[in-house]
Parts: sequence; C-alpha cells; structure tokens
Amino acid sequence: MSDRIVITGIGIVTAAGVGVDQCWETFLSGRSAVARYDLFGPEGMASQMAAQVPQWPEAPDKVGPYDVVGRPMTFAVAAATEAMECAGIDESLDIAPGRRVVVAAGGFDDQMNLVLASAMDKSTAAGEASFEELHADQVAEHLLDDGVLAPMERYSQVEVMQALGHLFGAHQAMLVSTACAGGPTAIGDAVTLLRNGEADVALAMGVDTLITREMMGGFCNLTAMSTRNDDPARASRPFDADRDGFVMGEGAAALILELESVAKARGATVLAELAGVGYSSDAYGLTAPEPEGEGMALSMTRAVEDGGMELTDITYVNAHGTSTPANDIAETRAIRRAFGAHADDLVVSASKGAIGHLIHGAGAVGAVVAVQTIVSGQAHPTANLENPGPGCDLDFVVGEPRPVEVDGVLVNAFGFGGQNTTLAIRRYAAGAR
Amino acid sequence: MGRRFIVGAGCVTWAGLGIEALEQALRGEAPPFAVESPGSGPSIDVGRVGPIKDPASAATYRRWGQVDTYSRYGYVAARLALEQSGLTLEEREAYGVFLGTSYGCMEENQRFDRYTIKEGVLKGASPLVFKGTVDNAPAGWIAVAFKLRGPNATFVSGDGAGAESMWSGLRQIEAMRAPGLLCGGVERFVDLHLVLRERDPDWQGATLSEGSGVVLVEDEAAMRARDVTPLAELVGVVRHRGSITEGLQAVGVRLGLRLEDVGLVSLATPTLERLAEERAELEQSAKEGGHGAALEGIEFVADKVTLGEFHGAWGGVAVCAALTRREPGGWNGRKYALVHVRGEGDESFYVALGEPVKPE
Repeated sequence: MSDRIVITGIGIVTAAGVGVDQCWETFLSGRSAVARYDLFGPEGMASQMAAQVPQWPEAPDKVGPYDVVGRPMTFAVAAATEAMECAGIDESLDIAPGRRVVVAAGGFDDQMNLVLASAMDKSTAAGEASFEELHADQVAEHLLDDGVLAPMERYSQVEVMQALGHLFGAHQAMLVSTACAGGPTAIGDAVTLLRNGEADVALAMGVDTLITREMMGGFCNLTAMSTRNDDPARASRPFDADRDGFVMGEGAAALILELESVAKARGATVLAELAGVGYSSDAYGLTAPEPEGEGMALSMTRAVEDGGMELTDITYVNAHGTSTPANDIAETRAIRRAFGAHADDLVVSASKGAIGHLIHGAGAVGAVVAVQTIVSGQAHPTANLENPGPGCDLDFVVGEPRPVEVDGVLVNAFGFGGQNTTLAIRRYAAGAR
Repeated sequence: MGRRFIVGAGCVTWAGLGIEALEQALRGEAPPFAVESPGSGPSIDVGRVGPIKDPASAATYRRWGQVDTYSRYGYVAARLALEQSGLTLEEREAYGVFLGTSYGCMEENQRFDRYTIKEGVLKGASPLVFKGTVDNAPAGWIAVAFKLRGPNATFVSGDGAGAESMWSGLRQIEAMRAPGLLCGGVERFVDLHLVLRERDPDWQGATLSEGSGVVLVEDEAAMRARDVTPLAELVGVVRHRGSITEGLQAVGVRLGLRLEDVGLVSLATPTLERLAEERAELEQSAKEGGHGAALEGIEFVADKVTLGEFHGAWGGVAVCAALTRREPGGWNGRKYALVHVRGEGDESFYVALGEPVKPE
C-alpha cells in the first residue's frame, strides 16, 4: 500500500483570532466576529460590515529577499509559520528543497487592483486629465512615484508565492486561483504531488484579503452580500431562514502535509489523514450555483472515492455554507444527493457564521476546522443559525458545540466560476487500513 | 502507467484564430505586428489580438456576449481544440479545464476600477464587469459553455503558468480524476503593461503579445475508445530549476528520452542572439559529456522572436507552435520535440512531445 498523506501542522489567521487556539475558541463559542469595518469608509455601501482580522499577526519583517508587508503577505506568512511550528519544521529539517513543495491559493491580485485604483484617483485629483483622457503613462507615473511597483513587476501574488517558497525552503512553489474553491484546490494539488512521489512534504494554503471598496462594491451590486447593517454580529448566518447574503472575511489558513513514512521517520505528531480530494465543475453559470447541487454532489462523492472510503465513513461535514439563499439550499440538496439516507446521520456546521467568507482562504479554514474537530471531538456550532431555512434540513450544530466521535470529515468549497473542490479528511490510525 | 495524447489544439494570436494562422506566422506569412502608442509614449510593436467577434464561438453559447475579452481568448482556443478532438457533448462531461495566466483579468480589473472611480462604487460597480474580475473566468466560462464537469483550475504562478497547467493536468489524468483536460494558457494586456514595459530594465526584447494556446490532453484508453488520431503524444512535463543544459539533462533522466531521438528544441528565448548563445552552451556541454554528435540533428528554434512574448500563455502557444512544426515521421525525422517555457526565478518547464504513433 502506498504511503498515506498526513497532516502534521495547521495555522490560521482570521477575524476569529490569530492562531489556531484563539480561532477555535471563537468557533466553539458560537460568536460571530463580524463588525462594521474600518479599512475604508463604508458609507453608502449596501453591506457595511465584514469579518476583519482584529490584530496584526506576528510575522518576520522579511522572508529571504521578500518584504513581509501588506495584508496578503503578512497573513499568509503568519499562518504558514504557525503551521510549520506546529509540525516541528524549522531550518534543521532534513528534507532537500527539491522534495518540498508549496501550493498556495489566492486572488490577492486585488492588491494590484488597489494600487491601480489609487493611482488613477491621484491622476484625476491632480487634474492631469479628465477621466476619459486618463492615460496609462500617467497611471504608471503615479505607481512609480509611490515606489509601489518596480517596472513591469508582476502581481503581488507571485511575490507572496515566492516568499512562501523561501519560507518553506521549497524549490517548487505554485499558485492556483479557483476563487472560493481555491484553498482545497491547492491542498488537493499538494496531495497529488505527494502521492506521485514528487515531494515528501508540502505547505498548502489559501489566503485572501478582499475587504476593499471595489470588491465590496462588486459583490454588493451582485446582490450577494448581507445588508443587515444594523446588526453585523448576526449578519452571517449560514442555512438560517433569515439569511440574506454573505459577509466578506479575510485571512489565511495553512496545512503541512507529508508522506506518512516521512512524518514517522522524523517523529512528527500526526493530526489527521488527508485521505481524498474531489474536483468538479457545475458547468452551469459563472456566478450562481447549479440549484440542484449536482456538481457539488459530484465533488463530494469523488473525494470519498479518491480517499478509498465509503460514504458511511463520513460523520461530519464542514459545509461551504456561505449564508446566501442560493448556495445554502443547493448545498443541502447536494449533500442529500451525494449521501442519500446517510445524509440524516451527518453532523454539519459552517464556519462562515463566525468569520465571514475568506474566498480563496475559506476552504483552507475548513480543513483546519476539520482537523480540530477530529482532534478535539467537538463540532463547532454554526454561528447565528437559529432557525434553519426551508429546505435546509440537515442535522446542523446549533448554539453549543457538540461532542462527536468523528472518523471521516468532508470539507466543501464551491467557487465563483462553478468550480467545486471537496476534501476528505479522516482520523489518523497508524497501520494499514 | 498509460500514455497521454494531444487530440486537439487551438490558439488565438495576433496572426489569427487557430494553429493554421500560427503556422503562417512562423513561415513569415502573417501580417506584421500592430504598432501602438500607449499613453504619450513612443510607438511600439504589439502582438495585439483585441476584442474578437468570433461567430463560430458565439454560436456555441447563448451568453457569449457576456464573455470578456480575456476570457474569449481562452474560450476560442478551447473551442478549436475541442472541435478538433471530436469529443461529443456526452463524452466530454468528465473532462476538465486547467489554464494558466500571468496577468489574468487585468483589463476587467482596470475597467471595473475606472467605472467605480468615475461613477462611485455604488453606481459603477457593474455586476457584468465584476464577473470578469477573477483570474479563473476563462476556465469557468469554458466549463459552463461546453459542459465540462471535471477538475477545473487556473494557475497564476507567473510566466510558466501555461506549462504548469499541462504539468498539473497530466497528474489529474494519472490520478484518474478525468479522462482528459483542456490545458494551456491565456493572456490579455492593457496599455499599462506597454508603458511599464518601456521602463523595464530587465526586458529581454521580444514583442509583447497576447492570446491563448490550448490543447486537449487525453488518456490513451479514452482516446482509443473514441478511435481518434492524436496530434502528438504528451510524453511528460518536467519542471526544473537551473540552466537549460541541466534542464535538458533532467528531461532525459526523468522521462527516459535520448537526445539522439529529439528533433526539435523550442527555447523560450526572446532574441536570435540569445538563441545562438544558448545553443553554443548546450553544444559545449554535450561535447564535454561525450555526446556532441547527438545535437547535430536537432533544430533549435526561438518562436518568441516571431510570435512575441505571451507570458503566462506561452506554454500553450509554444506547444501549438511545436505541433505545427511536426512532419510525417516526427520532427526533423526524430521522435520527440521539447518545448522550453520559463517560469519565475530560475525555474523552467520542459514539455516533451512525441510522434503520435497510433496505439494498437
């Protein structure tokens, strides 16, 4: 039997806290970390709240030649550092750089978006041109004046990827962008490389920081966001009858994955097994989920099959649960479609009630939650889920954490573009299954 | 382990739609590069495609009008590859889409920003434009329009992303997550790129080009079941850090190829001067290794000189270019072609194509 893939480290930065312990405590409490945001003036915005990271995480000033500045880079490096410490990985790790890999997911080219917007603002404010006459070279001047960009510099996302590669001492670093399915896609790609024998150890993660004027405006005008501005703490409410849209979150979550033999050889503590990955596409629409959940169900069944498991091995689902009317009903249908009668035996919760939607980071948070659920034997409640909506008829964890004896967990992540990825994570048991 | 084959190829370049147009460009029969004057800067050559109205693509999807230009490049290339492959609607459901890009949805981001600055966020944040502000929009549109329900991802790792999509797509097929995937790259530029390019001290010299190159990679068993004739075998994709000389050696070791069987090496080199230097380095190394004669039958090409710098799309475009160079019997009478694609830092990808002998 080939080596299994095990999880030996986890790290996280979200609005619920910096670090696994702080976040997990918030998740178990059932509190929501959503509040009115202060990253920019929300006046006039349909949705004026977000799950903003409350404290700046500790991170080194530099990683190799890369400055650790800005939200995406800082959050990514902080979560990765925690995961590496958790796994006992430091500079003494005796694994060649060519046997280490980083796979990250992020759409944080939004930082470039911010830079461009800022430069265009300045160009027009300086009276250099009417908006229609605005020339690219004037924008470029402002970019260069700010020292923000070296000429022809790539999006900051590549720089984050390279910094993570440097931090992890890896020769291979990859970056994927599948929107809200990004984190599990990155984790799944890392699993593939480990299984193929192309790496011994991997840092896999998702990160996003999209609490920006442009992103919030765009999602608001898609009517995808909650407008419960008078009660932010109750705005993100997955599967609830009164849900009215998602709330933007931000942060990062990271896993250390390695071959079981490698983890054993170096005496690492195994937290859980990453058993399987399922990918699918809705092939339905760019922004709306397929309402019957066919594509979502496909990614769940594929993850279970990929992990060599039975559907009945799954006892807990960390749902994508965005708190939008469309997603939550489609996901409920998908779980029923995938599991049949066993759907009634599943325990389900969604983390976005507490921390909003981290987009590329969301499913990676789900993976960390899955590990914590297995290790602690507690499923966290879905914050703000008080009265499940029509058609949302699964056994959701409500109000208090629930003691659970979990063997298998599914983590769902469904993305803008119709891209779906599901992870199958199971309790680690040494020896062949 | 089974073999994988390329059963369809499509591309969108300044030379036109499809690999026939690419072939013409490589023969020097395409129209010249466009000349543009971004902002108030000097005029420069650009391999510009521009907004495309492709009636054949429009006929495939009722929402074609909503597809942004960046996504259209990938869409049209994918359509051409799919049509060449002969995959039916029923057959393609399990197939996936892996694309790569370096700059992604920059145009839609900028367009979106301009609206929001001009009109304010509340009026200007058009949901129609906002749809296109994700890098994975082309892969999403392709899956939606052509009903591809397999794995779907977009790699944004920089200039190697198009080749990385093939590298990763092969692994999806090997893991039996899909019988085949559309793989390749897509890139769309805005004026800002051109202006910044002028100020880039590291610019290597090739003309900035935009477009897409996509191939349909299929598992041998699936291909045999459909009884189609492949364009080439996708022997493998090797990623390597270091010099091209070392990279070619790594290809030999990892894929079991002998240099004596390679007839074409396409280097991601922007100038003919640099091509000559790299070739000389390779020959010197081969001589020192005692197999200098093996290089004598290899044609070295630098297609970027003719086609331009496609950044993240280059992996797809360069593979399409190598396919057009195949003749009966292979490449210059040999079985294999190697396509080199530069990634970030000192990383390179090497896509190994093989003579498409139809399996028995």
